[in-house]
Order: sequence, then C-alpha cells, then structure tokens
Amino acid sequence: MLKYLLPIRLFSVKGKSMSPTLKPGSILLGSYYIKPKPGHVAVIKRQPKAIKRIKRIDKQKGVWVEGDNAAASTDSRQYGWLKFQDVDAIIFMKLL
Amino acid sequence: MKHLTKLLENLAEPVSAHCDLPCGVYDPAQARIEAESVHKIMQKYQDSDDDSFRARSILIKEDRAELVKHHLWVLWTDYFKPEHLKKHPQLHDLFWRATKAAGEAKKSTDPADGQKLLDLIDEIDEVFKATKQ
Repeated sequence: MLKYLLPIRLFSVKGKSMSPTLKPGSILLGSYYIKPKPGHVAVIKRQPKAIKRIKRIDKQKGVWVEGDNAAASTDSRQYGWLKFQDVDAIIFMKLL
Repeated sequence: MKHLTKLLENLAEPVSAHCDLPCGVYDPAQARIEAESVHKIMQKYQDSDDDSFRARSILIKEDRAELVKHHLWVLWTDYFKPEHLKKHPQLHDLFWRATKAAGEAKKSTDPADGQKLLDLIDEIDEVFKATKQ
C-alpha cells in the first residue's frame, strides 16, 4: 500500500514484448496518479506485473492493452479487456 | 554511471515485457521440481546443526518457493481456460491453496509443510492431465 502514497515509482523492464520502444533493462518512471489514455505505456497488475501499451479505453469495458512487439506479446488479444483498477501505473519517462 | 545504473536497477520494481509467444508449453512439473527442492531443503535444514548451512538453506528455500508460486501462477492464468473450470470447479480454490502453501513453505522449516505443497501440486497435475485427454 505504501507505494501508492509515492507519486512517482521506478520500474525496470524484463523481456522483449515492448521492443523496440522499451528494451530489457530500461529504467522507467511511472505514476499511479496519471489518468490512463490510449497511447500511454502502462504497468499492469498481473503475475508478474506486465508492461504494455494502452490501445483502447472503454468506460464500460475498461482498458485494452497490447505489447509494441505484437508477435512476442501476450496481452488483451489473449486475456481480453482489463479493469481500470488493473492499471498499476502510467509510464511518463524513460531514465535509462 | 555504472553504480547509478546498478542502484536504479536495485530500487526499481521489475515489470515483465516477457517474450512469451505463447509457445503453449505448460507442465506442472516445473512447479513440482521447485517444490521438491523446497521439501528437500527443509529436511536437510532439520538434519544439520551447521549455522551457516542452515542460514543458506533458508535463503535458497525462499527463492525456490517463489519459483513455485511463479510456475503455479503461469499455469493458472495462461494455461487453464473457462471450459476446464466448468469440468473442474475446484480449480481456483486448488490454486489458491497451493499458492498459500508455497508462501507457508517460505516461512516454515518443517518438511511436513513441504509435503503439503507437493500434495497440492499433485492434485493440480491430476486436473492438468485430465485436460489433456
């Protein structure tokens, strides 16, 4: 819960499903307090936490996410629409 | 710069942009192998009076139990489908209990807790095999 009190959080990327946008080892800054919009890169509450791009938002259905490296990504095309509360943070800066 | 990079990596939460195709290769054996390691570590811990060995055992058991949890979650979220749940309505409860048992195995050094985890994984394996028929 403490992490939701922090306006800005650090994330490190593992894997290639967001290549070439985000390579493995990229260090990112994200925030829970940014309102999700299509085009945003989001941290998703899955096990393990995933990082995907928000493609569509529907007030009734929620959030549709896909990896930028579509051929190598498991995302909403497999698991469907996500709830808004499944969005853990929106990435706003790439540090490294 | 190297030190700063390392520091940032240590502070950052890992997020998966995992390169899962998905390839469709799933097997409870992955969770079971790690659970067997956890169980064996618990037995060796009880059999040893070497403080260093015992300390290492606890650290390594923590890592292996976390891997059990990971393999269980991948099976649960990526392999099993709604039609499996219809035929095996105990599925969600079974995974919940198995994941809890993996968490318990982190805290415990009692081989009986390790055996409970193995038994639950065996139950999952029975369901898994039934879905392959």
